Amino acid sequence: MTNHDPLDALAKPPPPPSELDELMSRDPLDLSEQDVDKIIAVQRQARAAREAPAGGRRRKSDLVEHDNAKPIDLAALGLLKPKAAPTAPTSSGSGFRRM
Amino acid sequence: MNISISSTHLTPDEVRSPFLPGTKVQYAWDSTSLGYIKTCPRLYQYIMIDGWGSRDESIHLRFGIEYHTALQDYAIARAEGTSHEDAIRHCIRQLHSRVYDWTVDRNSRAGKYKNRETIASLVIDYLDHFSDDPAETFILDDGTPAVELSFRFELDWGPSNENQPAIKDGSFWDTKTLQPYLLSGHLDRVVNFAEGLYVMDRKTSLSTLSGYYFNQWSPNNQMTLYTLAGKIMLNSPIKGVIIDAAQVLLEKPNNFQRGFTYRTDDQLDEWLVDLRHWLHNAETYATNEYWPMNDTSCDKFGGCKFREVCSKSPQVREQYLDSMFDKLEEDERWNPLRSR
Repeated sequence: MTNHDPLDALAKPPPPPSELDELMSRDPLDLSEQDVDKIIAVQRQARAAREAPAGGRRRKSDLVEHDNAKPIDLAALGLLKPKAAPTAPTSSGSGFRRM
Repeated sequence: MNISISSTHLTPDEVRSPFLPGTKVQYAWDSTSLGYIKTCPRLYQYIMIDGWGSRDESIHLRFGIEYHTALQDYAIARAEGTSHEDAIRHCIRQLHSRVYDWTVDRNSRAGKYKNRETIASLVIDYLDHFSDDPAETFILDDGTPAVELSFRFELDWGPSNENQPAIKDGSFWDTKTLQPYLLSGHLDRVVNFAEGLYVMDRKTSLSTLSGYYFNQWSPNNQMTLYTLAGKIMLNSPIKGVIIDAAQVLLEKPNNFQRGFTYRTDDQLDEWLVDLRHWLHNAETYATNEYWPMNDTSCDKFGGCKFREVCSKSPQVREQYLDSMFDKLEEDERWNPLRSR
């Protein structure tokens, strides 16, 4: 016989805390300089992952043969280390909009 | 324009009521409270007079404050000569110390998008995105960067004599002791961009930053007041406001867009003329203790949060307010005289 409440089976467990979550909830007195760097690095990695093209999620049937005449795109393959900071926005890419 | 500056830097100790003593006549106004009375007097009553608020609202408010504070910390560090990376480290450490124990209900839409992780993400993304910002922070005469500037002006008119406390008390008064109207607020940043001076106002949004989003700022009560405030505080030809918008996203990268909204001197004068009428109306509502419902505003801005309450019969509205909102203490209510 178990003591489990039948409703427990319906309850959705909370998601496990992420690395950023753990760092952001840490007592400030226990937060080292390395931890601050880690928060920044984790966020930048997460951003790079969100910015990456969805190529990694392709199904097998979407794969195409590589054209050897073209250079291999390392960024598309996820083999390039993301930059620490993005390049300076250009005048056209600064996001200004006239109303 | 007949305006005088009474103070620019205020301390929290000076916070006092924005209402004339013993009345519901508000004499100190900011863009938020003005926006309420212009949108719907009943909305104004529920928030400013009765003090109804919601929990989700406090999440949005907290998130906005933390975002502004973090970017202010960064701007000050940069103005002191700190490198981009070190300034980010500084502002993230400061941010962490403020939000490490901030917990929100992540099952709510507000809490899902606005919490201590997403605020850190948004700040880092913003600072990296604008690491070489074409808009340069204006440096004030005292050498400090023009960020998070609190302003307060006196207008050359005020509530009518019968509502002025000295007259009500029957004590001695002259025209110098009459309380004039005050306009107050906060400018996020003043910047130099393309050889022009602009107020920059930061917005965080869960909405798409489309043309529709940016069109809402012209004409706009807040942006007109901020242009006016920038001109008066800096005594310089402020051209208008740059809306510095950040869209908080979870699956996609956070999105940052900026838009311009301009104001001419004639537009500022017209706004002040209109203001006289709005404040007169506000005083009339307060004197009569009745704030009519503007039932053409209920569907604006995605729907008023009090819409469900107002759709009920008057005799049961208080019950609905009580179940759907929190009655905030006096010191928790929106107060235009509170400095950041």
